[in-house]
Amino acid sequence: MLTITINGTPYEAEVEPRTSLADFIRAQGLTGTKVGCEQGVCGACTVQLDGEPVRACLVLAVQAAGCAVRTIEGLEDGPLQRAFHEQHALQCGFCTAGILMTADAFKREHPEASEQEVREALSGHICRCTGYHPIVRAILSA
Amino acid sequence: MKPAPFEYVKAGSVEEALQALTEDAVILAGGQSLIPQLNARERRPGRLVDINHAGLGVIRRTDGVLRIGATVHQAALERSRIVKEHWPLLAEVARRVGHVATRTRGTVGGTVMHADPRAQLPIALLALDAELVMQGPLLVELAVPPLPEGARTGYAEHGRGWPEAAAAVVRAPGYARVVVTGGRAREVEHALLDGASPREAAELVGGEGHRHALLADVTRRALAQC
Repeated sequence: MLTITINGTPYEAEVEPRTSLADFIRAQGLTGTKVGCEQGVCGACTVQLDGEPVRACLVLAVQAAGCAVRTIEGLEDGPLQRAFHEQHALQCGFCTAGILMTADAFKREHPEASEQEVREALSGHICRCTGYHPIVRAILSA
Repeated sequence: MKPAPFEYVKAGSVEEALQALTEDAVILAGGQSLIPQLNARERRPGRLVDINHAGLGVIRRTDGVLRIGATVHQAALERSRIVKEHWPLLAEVARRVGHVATRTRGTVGGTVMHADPRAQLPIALLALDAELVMQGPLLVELAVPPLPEGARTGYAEHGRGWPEAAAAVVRAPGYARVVVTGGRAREVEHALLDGASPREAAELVGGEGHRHALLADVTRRALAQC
């Protein structure tokens, strides 16, 4: 039996060692975390593991045993989401959960980040509809 | 895009890891290169030996030597004050590896053992004369000696993420170390020691055509920072 705490709630499940953390999270009904490429390229599945942004498709669920995971469902409504809304920083929204989890951790570590630093932080996220300008503007203005 | 089944062993020490390393086992460090390979079923090991809890996650400086445990995250190298102060080249290169959310998991030891020739950290570590400390088949630590007296360092790359060409250089009076994608550029080092200008020396970097132009360009730019 594997127990992972997600957004403060312990979830217990029987899993195979090959199960990714992303699949574990979604199997608990927390489907805000999206799974895109499953090879660490697109960034859609980004969650926070003990406070650090990680690709949930590149972590095995068994590796997160006893850790604290935070997903988009655990990100309280705040200036970041408002800025995304105001700047029209999403269309289909598939990439948004992952971007918000990276941006939240990034803003905590770099509250006064420059545009260049924001762009570098976003380099691990692929967005195919909105384009990056409004996303960068939203993170800078949040 | 799901891996073939495997057995998972969490090693609590180096000894446990060595004992668990059966013939069909592979070592799991940060997993940022291994797990994509497993997902694509390019590799089908029978067992994964996770060394993240084997006590190899510490960076320290003893007698002037930087000792990077095999499972130190790339992000830790990027944030380390010791590294920034004494080995600025490593700090500069660490922040260019992958992306924020892969550096938090990806390890310094893993990128060395994965040995992709385009990977930035091995290029910098070779320029810094780092040594691999092995225990049997397992990398346990990277030992980076202090920079030579009065040394200056430089790094440049072409392309983002997985650069097509990169150069790391260390220069001090009577000392030149130049490493580019693919290995040491000894002709460049000899020319610099013989008094050639950085521009002249960079031309000796090897490769042909476009490849030569890229390598010479990154070498020139890295040398210009020294």
